[in-house]
Amino acid sequence: MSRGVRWQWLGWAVGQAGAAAVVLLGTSLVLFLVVEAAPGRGPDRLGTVTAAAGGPVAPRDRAGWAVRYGRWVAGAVRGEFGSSTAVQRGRPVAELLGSAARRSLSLSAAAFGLAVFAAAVVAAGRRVLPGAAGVAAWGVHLASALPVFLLVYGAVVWLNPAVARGAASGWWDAPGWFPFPSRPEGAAWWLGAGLLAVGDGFLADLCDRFSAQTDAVGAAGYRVGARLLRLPRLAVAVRATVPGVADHLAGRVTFLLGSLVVLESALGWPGLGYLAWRAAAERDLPVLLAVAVLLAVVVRTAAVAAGLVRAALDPRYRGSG
Amino acid sequence: MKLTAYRHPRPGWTRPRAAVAVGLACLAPAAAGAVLAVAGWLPDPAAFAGPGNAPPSPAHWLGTDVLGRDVASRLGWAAARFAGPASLAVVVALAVGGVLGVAEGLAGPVGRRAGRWTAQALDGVPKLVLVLLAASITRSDLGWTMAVVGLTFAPQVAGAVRASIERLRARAFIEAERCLGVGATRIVLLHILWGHSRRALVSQVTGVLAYAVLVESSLSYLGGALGVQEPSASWGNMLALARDGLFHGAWLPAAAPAAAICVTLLGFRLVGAGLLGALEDRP
Amino acid sequence: MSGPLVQVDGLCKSFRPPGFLAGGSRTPALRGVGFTLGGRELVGLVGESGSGKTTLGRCLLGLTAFDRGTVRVAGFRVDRLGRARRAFAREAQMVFQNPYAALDPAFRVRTILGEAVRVHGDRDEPTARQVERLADLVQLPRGRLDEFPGRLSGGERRRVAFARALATRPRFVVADEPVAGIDPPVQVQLLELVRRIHAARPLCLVLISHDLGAVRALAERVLVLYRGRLVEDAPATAFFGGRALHPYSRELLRSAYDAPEILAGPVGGVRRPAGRDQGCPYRHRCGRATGSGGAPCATIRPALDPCGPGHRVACHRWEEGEQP
Repeated sequence: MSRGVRWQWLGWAVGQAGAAAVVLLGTSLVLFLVVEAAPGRGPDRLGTVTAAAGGPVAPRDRAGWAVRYGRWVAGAVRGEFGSSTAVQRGRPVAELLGSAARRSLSLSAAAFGLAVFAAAVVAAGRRVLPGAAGVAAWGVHLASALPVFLLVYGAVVWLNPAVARGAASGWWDAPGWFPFPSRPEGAAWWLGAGLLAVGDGFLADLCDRFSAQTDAVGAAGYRVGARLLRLPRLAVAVRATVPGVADHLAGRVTFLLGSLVVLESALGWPGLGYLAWRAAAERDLPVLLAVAVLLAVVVRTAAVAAGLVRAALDPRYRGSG
Repeated sequence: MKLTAYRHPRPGWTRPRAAVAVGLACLAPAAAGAVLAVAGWLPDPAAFAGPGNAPPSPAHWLGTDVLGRDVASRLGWAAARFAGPASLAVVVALAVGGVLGVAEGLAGPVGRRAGRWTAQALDGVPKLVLVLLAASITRSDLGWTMAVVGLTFAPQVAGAVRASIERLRARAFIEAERCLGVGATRIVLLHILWGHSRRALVSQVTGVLAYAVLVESSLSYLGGALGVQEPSASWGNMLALARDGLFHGAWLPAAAPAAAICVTLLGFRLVGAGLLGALEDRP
Repeated sequence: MSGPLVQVDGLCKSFRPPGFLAGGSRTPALRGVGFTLGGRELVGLVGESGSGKTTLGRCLLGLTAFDRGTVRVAGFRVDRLGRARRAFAREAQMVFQNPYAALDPAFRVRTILGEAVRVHGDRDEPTARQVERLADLVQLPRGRLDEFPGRLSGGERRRVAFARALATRPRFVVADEPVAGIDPPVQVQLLELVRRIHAARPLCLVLISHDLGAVRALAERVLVLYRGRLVEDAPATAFFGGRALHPYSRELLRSAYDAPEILAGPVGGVRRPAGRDQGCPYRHRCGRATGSGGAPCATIRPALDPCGPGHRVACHRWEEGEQP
C-alpha cells in the first residue's frame, strides 16, 4: 500500500465518521424538535407535569430552540438526558438507560449472530444440496410471515403448558425459566434471542440476501479463474461476498431493533425496547427521545462499520465517497 | 405475444410467476373480507350477538370471540379499516422516497449529499421507535402512525429509485434520449421509473404494506394505548383478547387473526419476491 | 446566420480517474483539436482505438463536458446549452455507437420514434404517419415498428437509430461507428442508405469509423486523429488516392489495405517519455523521424499546416510523403 493510498484511506474513513456525526446531530435535532413541538406535553395518563422534570420538557425554559437543543446535546455528551416524567417519575433517564442498554444490546447481538449463522448455513447448504433449495425457499418464505409477537404468543401459550405437564409427570424438575417469560436468563434468554432472529422476517431476509450473493459470486467468471489458479477458496469467497453482505446487514439492524421493542414489550423483559414502549404508552418523551437517539447511534455505528469493512475489501467503494 | 429470446437461468429462490400467483391467492382472503365488510354483508362487528367463544355456525362463520362478537366480521372490518391508513403509508413512502431518490440520483453534488444525508438520518432511528414516537405524540391516531411508517420506509424506496437511476443513467439509451432533447422529468418518470423500475417499485410497495400490517398488529397486540383501541377491531387486539381463552380450549378466536396476519404477510412477501425475481432488465 | 456550421477551436478534454480523492493523473483524450465543417459535407473521422474519435464526437454534441476550447454548432455554444438543449437537438443529432444499448429495450420501436417525433416533429401531421415516413426513409419495414428493439437484427437497429436521429430534421449528424459489427452485405446496404439520406437532405454528416472501407465508400473529406490530435485533414480523393501525407495516415492505410506490410514496417515504442514532450507525438513510431536524424521532429511539435488545396497535415517532413 503506497503512501498516497494510505492517506486516501484515512481521509475516507474520517469523512465517513464526520458524515455519520453530522447525520446523527441532524437526527437528534429533528427528534428534539418533534418532541418539543408535541401538543400537550407531559404524561396524560399519570397526572400532570412536575416541575422537577428536566430535559426538553422543562416548562420554565424560555430560551430559543437552538439554545435548548445545544443544552440538550451538551447534557447528552455528559451522559445526562434529563429526568423521566412518567415511567419512573423523577429518576434520571441516564440511570434507566444504562442497564437497559446492556441487556438489550447483548440480546440483539445474540439474535443477530444466530440469524447470520443460520443464513450462512442455509446459503452454503443450497450450494451443497441443490435439490433442497426449493424446499428451503418455501420454508424461508413461510418463516418470513411470522411476526415476533406471534412467535412470543405461541411460545407462551404452547411452552408453558408443555413444561408444566413435563414437570407434573416427573420428567424433569421445574426448570428455572418456568413460567416462560419470567426472567431474561439462561434458556429463556436464548429462546428469546432465537425468536428475535427468526421473527419479523429477519432470518428470511438474510437468507434471501446471502443466497443471492453466493449465487452471483458463484456465477462470476473471476471465481472460475480463481479456481483454475488454485487461489485459496475461502479467501476468494470472503472477498467476493462480504462487501455486498456487510451493507445489507447494517441496513437490517434498524429492523432488528424494532423487533426487539416488540419482543421485550411482549415478554415484559427490562431493556431499551421495553423502556421505549412504556415511554411511548405513557408519553414519557424525555425517555423516548433518549432511547431513540441511543438506538440511532447504534444504527449509525453499524453503518459506518459496514462501510469500513466494505472499503477494506473493495477498493472501488472508497472512491464513491 | 411470442417472447422466445434466450434468457440466462436466473439465480433466485423460486419461480417468479408461481410466487406471484400464490402471493395474490394469500392476499385474496383479506381483500375479500374488507370488501364484504364495506358492502355490508357481514354482521355488526361490535354487536354482542351470541354467547362467548361460540363455535362456527351459519350465523357466525368463524364463531364468536370471548365477548360474543362475530369473529369473521371483526376480521373483515379490521382489514377494511386498515386499508386507508395502509395506502397512506404507501403514498408517503413513494412520494418522500421518490423525491429523495431522484435527488440522490440526479441532483448536483450538494443536492445529492443533502438527499443522502436526509435518507441516512431517516434510516438511522429504528423504524418502530419512530412509529412509537408518532403514536405517542398523536395519541395513537392510525393515520398518523401509518404516515410515519411510510416515512420510515422512504429511505428504502429512495435507495431503489437511486439504484435504478444510477444503473440506467450511464446506459446509452438514456443518453440518446437526452441527446434528443427529451426533458429530464420525462426521462426519469417514463423511461427510468416506469420503463425499467416499476417491478422494483411495486416490490417496495409490498414491503411497505407488509411492514404496515406488522406494525399495526404488533402495536395493537401490545396495547398500552398505542394501537387500535377496543371496541374497534384489529387483528392484533383480537389476538390479545383471545389469549386467555386459549387456556380453556377456545382456539379459534386466536387462530383466526393469527392466520390472517401470517397469510397476509406471506402474500405481500411472495408478491414482492416474485416481482423482483421476474425483473426483466438485470444489469 | 453567418460562419460555418461547425467550428471547433483548441478543444481539450482529459478524463479524471473516478472517485473522490482518487490518486493518479488525468488521462488526456483530446489535446487541442480544431477544424471547421461547412454546410453539406460528409466527413470521415478516422484513427486507431483510443485516439479520441468517440470523445470528439460526443464533445461536438455537448454530451461530454470538455476542459478547454470552444465548440460552436449551428450557432450554439455546446458547452453552454442549458435550457437550449431541446432547440439544439433540432440542429444536431447523434447516431450512437452501440445500437444494442442505445434503444430503450422496454419500449416498442413505434414508441421510441414517436417520442422523438412528438418532441420535435410537425405538429400538424399525426405522429403515426410521421413515424411511418421515417421508417420508409430508412427502409425499415413498417411491420417492424411494433417490435421491441431486442427482437430486431443489427442492421434494423441501426436503421431505427438513424431514423430517430433524423426525426428532429437536424442539419448536423454524428454517426459513431454506424457499420461496425455487422455483416458485409448489410454494411453495403447501410452505407448506401447513408449516402441516399445525405443526398436527400441538407445534412452535414460526420462518420466516425475505424473502418477505412466505410469512410472510403462515403466520405468527401477525411480527418485523422492520433492520440487526441488532428494530424491530417484531407479531401477523400487525395487521401485514398495516394496523397495521404502524414506517416500515421499512411500506416492506417497500409494496415487496412495491405496488412502483411505492417510486419515489415517501422514499429517503434509506443511509450511516451515522461515530462513535457515538445516534439512530434508520432516520432517514436515514425520511419521518417528515426530514419534521418530527426532534428525538428524531436524538438518542435508540428502544427496542422496547409499542404495543398483543402489539405492540411501536421508533419515536418510531409514532402517526403509526396514520393511514393
